[in-house]
Amino acid sequence: MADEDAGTRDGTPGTDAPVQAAAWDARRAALDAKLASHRARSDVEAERERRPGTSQGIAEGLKLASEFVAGIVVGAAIGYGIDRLAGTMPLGLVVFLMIGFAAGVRNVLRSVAPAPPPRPDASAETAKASAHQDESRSKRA
Amino acid sequence: MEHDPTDPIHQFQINRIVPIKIGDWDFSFTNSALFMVLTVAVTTAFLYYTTRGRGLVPSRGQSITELTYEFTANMLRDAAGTAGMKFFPFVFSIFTFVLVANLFGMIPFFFTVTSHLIVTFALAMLVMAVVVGYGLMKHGLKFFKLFVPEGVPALLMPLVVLIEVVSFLSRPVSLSVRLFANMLAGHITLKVFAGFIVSLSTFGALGILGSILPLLMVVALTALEFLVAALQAYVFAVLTCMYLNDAIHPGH
Repeated sequence: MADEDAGTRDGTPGTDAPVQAAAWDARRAALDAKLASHRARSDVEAERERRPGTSQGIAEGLKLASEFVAGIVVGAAIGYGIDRLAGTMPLGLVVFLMIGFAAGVRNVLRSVAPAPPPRPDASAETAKASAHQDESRSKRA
Repeated sequence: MEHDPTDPIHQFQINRIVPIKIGDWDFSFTNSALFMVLTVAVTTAFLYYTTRGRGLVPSRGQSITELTYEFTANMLRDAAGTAGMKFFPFVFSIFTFVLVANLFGMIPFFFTVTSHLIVTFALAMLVMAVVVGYGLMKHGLKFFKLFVPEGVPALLMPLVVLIEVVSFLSRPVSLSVRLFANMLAGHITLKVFAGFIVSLSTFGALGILGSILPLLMVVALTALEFLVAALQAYVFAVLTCMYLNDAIHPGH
């Protein structure tokens, strides 16, 4: 309303440019507010989706189980292979089953370890890469 | 052999479409091969067709292609850094192949390529071959630092290295078995519940009423299977990216 007055006070009755500019400003402000509320809402939704207890949890569980089993299976296979080649029937199987078990635990730990803090001596790129990766190896360093 | 229509395993049977035999080797063009070719053909055709216009304002199809591109590129950049982007064509091919093959399996009467262990294992071995090949080419013997973690007492080192090696060797196994088992188990479950509907509905009116329960289950499972199909393709691609990161930056 005040802008309309300003328009008439300028003494340019044919032009409504300031009026239009004000209308655009108002629309832009309204749009900004709408966008902000929408963004907040989608953030809330994303947060809800990230919560555990959904099907992502099942997928994660299956992933860890397969990591663990794969270590044992590969260990047993190596042990069996060595036994077949060297003729030391139970020994290699026993030893490599143990090692396979350890490797399975290692796999699982690697998958669930929180992202390690970047090392101070690492170069910028390596630090960036390892920060994204769930490696527990560099955590020991 | 006449097969039972409710047999849950029958859908995974390999049939020779064009028998080809070279020496003692069977190179027959099977239904599995047919659907692999279809997967590649449909993916290529879709990507080519949707990006043909190269619109500044993307059309619907172009948006799908661009989203897939962005998604894969971000996934690779997050896992392996910008140095990993040279593997983008590789990762994108693997991701789209597994995704489209999984989704193809959801169409009735279509063969699920990824429900066969040999297919997923071949994919996993391809990933491992690229990882080891590139790692040795780029870093030479330093690549084996991957198996030597820092800060381990010298006494324990042989044992730890052995465990790391077995852990590395188990990667293709877990990678392939996960995808294969998810697809196989999902499709068997679907078929078993669908079979319940058929068997129950032979028991008269009460049976037909009772078969509503497995029908509801099949509807729910179908939705779950679509989720699993997409999720497993994603998991396969993410792990590929992480393994590639080991080849690009070993021993950190």
